[in-house]
Amino acid sequence: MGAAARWALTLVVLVVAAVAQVVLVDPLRLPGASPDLVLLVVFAFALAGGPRHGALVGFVGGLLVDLTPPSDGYVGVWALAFTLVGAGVGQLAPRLRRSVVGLLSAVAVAAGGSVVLAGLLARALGNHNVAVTALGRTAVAAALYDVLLSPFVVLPVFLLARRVEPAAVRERSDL
Amino acid sequence: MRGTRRTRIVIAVLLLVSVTLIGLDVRAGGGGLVGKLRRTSSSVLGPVERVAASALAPFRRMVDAFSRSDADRIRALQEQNMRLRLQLAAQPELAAQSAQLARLLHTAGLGQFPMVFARVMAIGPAQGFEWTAQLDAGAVDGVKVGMTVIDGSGLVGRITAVTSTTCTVLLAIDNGFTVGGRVAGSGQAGFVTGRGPGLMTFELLGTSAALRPGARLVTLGNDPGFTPGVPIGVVTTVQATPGALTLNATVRPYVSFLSLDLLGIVISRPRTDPRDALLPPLPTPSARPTPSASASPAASGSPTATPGASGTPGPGASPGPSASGSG
Repeated sequence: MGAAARWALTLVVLVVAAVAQVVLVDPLRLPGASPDLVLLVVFAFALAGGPRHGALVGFVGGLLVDLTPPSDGYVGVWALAFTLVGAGVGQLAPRLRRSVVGLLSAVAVAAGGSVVLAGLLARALGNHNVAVTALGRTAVAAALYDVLLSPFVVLPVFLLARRVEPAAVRERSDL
Repeated sequence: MRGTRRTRIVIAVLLLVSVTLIGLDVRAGGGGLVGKLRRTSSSVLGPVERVAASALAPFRRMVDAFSRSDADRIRALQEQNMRLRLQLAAQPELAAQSAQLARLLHTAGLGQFPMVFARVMAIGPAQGFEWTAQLDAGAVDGVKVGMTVIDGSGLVGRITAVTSTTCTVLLAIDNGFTVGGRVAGSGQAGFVTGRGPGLMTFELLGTSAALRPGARLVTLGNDPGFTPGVPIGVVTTVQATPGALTLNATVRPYVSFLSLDLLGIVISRPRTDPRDALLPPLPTPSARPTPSASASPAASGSPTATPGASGTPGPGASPGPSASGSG
């Protein structure tokens, strides 16, 4: 599979996740927070592709979250948060692939961390919907939902990414 | 080694681009390059959401799959129901109005706002950092930025972005939402601001005005394009800050924002301000929120009756309470 086709596939998965997020997941109004499908997809691609690819997928995925209507926040906030998530997960990928506990902890940290980071950034830019005192609770709830959903999202996307991504093996030797 | 260095450069560049985008968006305030990017993505992803939402509609109803004709019939009935509820809301209040006001109300068309109906397709993402929704009506239906969005119980929000077939509504509970509000039954005006789920605040201009919990608020309609007379909510608490130039109150909105489905977009201003006609009736029929001080003892008239009623099962030696109770 060529690089263009791989990226097209990645983009399709990200778009499906971003649209499913606002059409299907967010209208459920789950208590505390929403599970973050795009974060889980970014996590899976970073796990399969390493830090560079993870950061790129994170950036594109975050930008999609910023731009998918009815999003109203400043563009770039989630791109920044997910770039860091992709890079971090990609960096730790070889170790995470060896332990389930480590993997689930990483999902929790990535989910909670991205909520706190994007929340603080949005608050600093003047978004008063973000209550800093409630951010911790939102982060914990998001982490919990994402850990519960990860077998259904991270696993299939990871398998798909590894099948189409010969770069996964190459980047592992970079570390 | 070289790979690691390239990786670091790529990550640094991506972070820099993110920060630059944020900076551009903050500076341009919705316009410029980022605004263009947002409009492009809306016009591409809006229709995708439309398709996805209609495909998932049976699932979201959480009952067995409806056939297409059933869904259409239900939608038509819901639209009719919403119109009727708006008209019904006008009835009790109308009976109590003066003849002059009643004439005004008749010309206002009893809340028959020229409306376009739309369904919620998608809800604002990002962990409650934004309170927005995407609706399945757009520029081709006559929707424009700044229009008022309502449902059967009152104010839902304001249109902030429009594509050809979809539009974005900023919900009235978003902290970025502010609208002119008026206390029903009086001319007292101020600003209503969103404060998250189930909460709004009302800033009344001038502290001399009396504002009590239970006062009902409607939109003032001073902003261009915004509809007057739409019910907003009920004042729950009033905080008077000594020395302040304004009076602050918390407001419980009429609309339940966590279960929005079918909404109406008011596509043109009603010919006459419907004033208070669309408000739901008060719990106690006699108490109308008037600024005059004599209204409250007259409305609650029963305090003299209560001691009399409690006195009757007593020894009966004292004629006072029993007399007032029987009389």
